[in-house]
Amino acid sequence: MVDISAKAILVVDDSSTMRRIVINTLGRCGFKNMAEAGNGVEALAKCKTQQFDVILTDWNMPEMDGLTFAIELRKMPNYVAVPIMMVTTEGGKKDIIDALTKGVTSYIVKPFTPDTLKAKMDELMAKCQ
Amino acid sequence: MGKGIHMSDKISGNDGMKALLAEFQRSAEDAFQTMVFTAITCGVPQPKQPGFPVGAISGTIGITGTKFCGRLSLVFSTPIAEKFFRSMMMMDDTSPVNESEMKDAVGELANMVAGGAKARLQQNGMDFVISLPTVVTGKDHSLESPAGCTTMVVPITLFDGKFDMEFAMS
Repeated sequence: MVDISAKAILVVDDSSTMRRIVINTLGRCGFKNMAEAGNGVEALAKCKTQQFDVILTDWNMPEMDGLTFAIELRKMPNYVAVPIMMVTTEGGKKDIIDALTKGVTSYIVKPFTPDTLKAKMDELMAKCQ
Repeated sequence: MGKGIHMSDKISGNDGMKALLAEFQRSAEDAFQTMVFTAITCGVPQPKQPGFPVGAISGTIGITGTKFCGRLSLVFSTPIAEKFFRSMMMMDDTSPVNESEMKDAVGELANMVAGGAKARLQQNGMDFVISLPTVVTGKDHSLESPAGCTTMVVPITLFDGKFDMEFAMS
């Protein structure tokens, strides 16, 4: 059984509302160690100074979008295998396949319910074991 | 393929506009039900009249595709925006609302509506790119219809009030 309270999660989204919704939902699921970033550039900077266990990132963001962030993150040796979940409105099959082939582990399409996010996180945490 | 609009369809005229608009309406219903935890009721679309509708806060997403271009906007009064924001953030009815966060939420909802419609339309072979949201605030403002576009307005009932969805297409 994974101790999720010890897992370090990075939530990346340019929308403060979405960051709050995601962090509140994860908090109710038992996650305690969460950080946030407003775009891919900020997120990359955080990943260079801190090791996260799971990354949740939006797709459409200013400065650096989520897909570019995922591609850049995979170039860092300590992030080659860290699960990345794309939290996105870009729910078309073409977009999803594109993201999965470029290093994204999983995805959740906005809008989503708290239960859906929890289920997706459970799947992702199982991969962390 | 299911019902709705298809890649082979020529997106023009009233029928093309209605078919596209229907996908955006369905996406709006889904976004509000899931993120705001309340059902909305879409009214009958009407051609946009200059200076109408008016609102205090509006979120807009630009749309660029090979079949059509345009924009989607959600136009709210302050009381309705505050009410949906509180519901979305699971706040109680008397909690103070931070204007900056409310603006962010309006932009994010517009993003979800456009993104959801994009996913639906992609299933039928139609692709387009959506922009980042822009949010405008100001008492009784109205949005200009983009040059060369036909703009329709859908009145939408939410809680005990209404807001408007504008869809412009060329």
